[in-house]
Amino acid sequence: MAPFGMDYDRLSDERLMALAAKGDERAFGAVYDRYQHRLINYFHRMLWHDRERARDMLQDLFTKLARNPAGYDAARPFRTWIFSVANNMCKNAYRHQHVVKAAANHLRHAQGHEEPLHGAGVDHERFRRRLDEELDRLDPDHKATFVMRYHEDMAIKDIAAAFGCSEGTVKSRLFYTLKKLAERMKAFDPNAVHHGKA
Amino acid sequence: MPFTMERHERYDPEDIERLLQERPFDALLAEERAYVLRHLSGREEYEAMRALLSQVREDEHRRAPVQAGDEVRAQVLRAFRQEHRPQWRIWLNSLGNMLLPREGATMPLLRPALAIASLALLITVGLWVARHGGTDAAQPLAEAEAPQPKASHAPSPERPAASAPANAAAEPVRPQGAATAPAEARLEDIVRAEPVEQAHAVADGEPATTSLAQREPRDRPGTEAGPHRERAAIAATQSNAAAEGETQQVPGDAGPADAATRAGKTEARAAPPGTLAAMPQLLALMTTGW
Repeated sequence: MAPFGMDYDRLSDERLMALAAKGDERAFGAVYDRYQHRLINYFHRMLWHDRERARDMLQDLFTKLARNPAGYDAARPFRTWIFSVANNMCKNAYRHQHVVKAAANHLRHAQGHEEPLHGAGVDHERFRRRLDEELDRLDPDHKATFVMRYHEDMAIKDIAAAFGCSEGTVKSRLFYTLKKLAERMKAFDPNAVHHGKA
Repeated sequence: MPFTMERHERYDPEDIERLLQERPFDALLAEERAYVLRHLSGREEYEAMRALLSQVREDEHRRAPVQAGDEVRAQVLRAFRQEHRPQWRIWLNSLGNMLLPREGATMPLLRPALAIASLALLITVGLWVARHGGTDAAQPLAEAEAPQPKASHAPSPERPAASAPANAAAEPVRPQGAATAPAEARLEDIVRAEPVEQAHAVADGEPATTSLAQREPRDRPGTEAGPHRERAAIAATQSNAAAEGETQQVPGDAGPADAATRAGKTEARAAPPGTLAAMPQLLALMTTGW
């Protein structure tokens, strides 16, 4: 860091966006560097693990932000605001892909993915694949809530702010999502194996 | 209900997720268990959900993150730069478009070069104008030169010593061209002009305008020697006014400064205006070693 330069790493997201609105390219670059990993992984999980689509969505989001940095609502924390924008983009993508993906899910389940476990150990790769499939079957809001909570480690209140709903709604969604997934993925329940219910 | 010290904690009755993360079913408080059982079928379902949550968190740590790549960053920053381009650069590029309207392979290279070259040219022109234009800044700070009307004077040749009285009246009125004459020559002229100037000298304390009024009948403007004598009178008046001021500032103190001042006064009366000798104060300061 130059002796008289600004340490962008120490600035808050909101401060960086204020600088970016004034044309500070380095500030905008710092915001991108902070959020690009989290957002591209969010898009990857939300958009059927399509890596190219996730990259396009990330570029699209930040390009829109670059063209209008003043569009950020400074009254809201930047973290919740940007995930709210990302979630809305995913919803739009879902609307366009609803027909296609519904057919793909039907085909996937018709082929039968209920593979029996071998031994007491859990196959992590199979668990991951199965989890992703089950999440794709969920309602977009429930899926997004689950991903934000358990993959992005966001707090309940931040998720509520991103969705614009109450914390009770977020907790309810999480509860019913977990309950549904636990029921559908009984084969991976170690307790069930342990208790001889494989 | 017995009060348990080690479990003295508050919990949100709706926060089953937090319970799932914190404790197994068997470790729940009675009221917590009762709440859980209102929403779940039993211990098995609670433990299945708890196991799934544990596996999801473990899977998250194992997942390799997806990378965006440097090209995405470059694209995004390019878009930012394009949006926040300074207006002057836009103007220079449009100038480039006007001068070189055809787009070619070299345009992306020429446009910024044209902008930089134009800017350098403007700066150079500006510096040149600032240096060579405007008023002549080479004038010395203290040039003893009285403003003279140019049209009425012809450059005077060197005066012979014998014609001093006749030329004395005109002596203070020196043409502008002679302002750079050596100091010794001026001193000689002043000394020669003294007898005539003393006749015109006004006693200290008399108003300067009196001498001019006295001279008026003799030196009417329009006569042959009139303009010259009038100027001489004005010059003498100026020197007398300076002398008066000096006297008022240094009332009657004897000393080398005072003597020098008086000498300066005398010289000032005879000295041509605009010369150093015409400023007795300054001359006195220099003499006393200021």
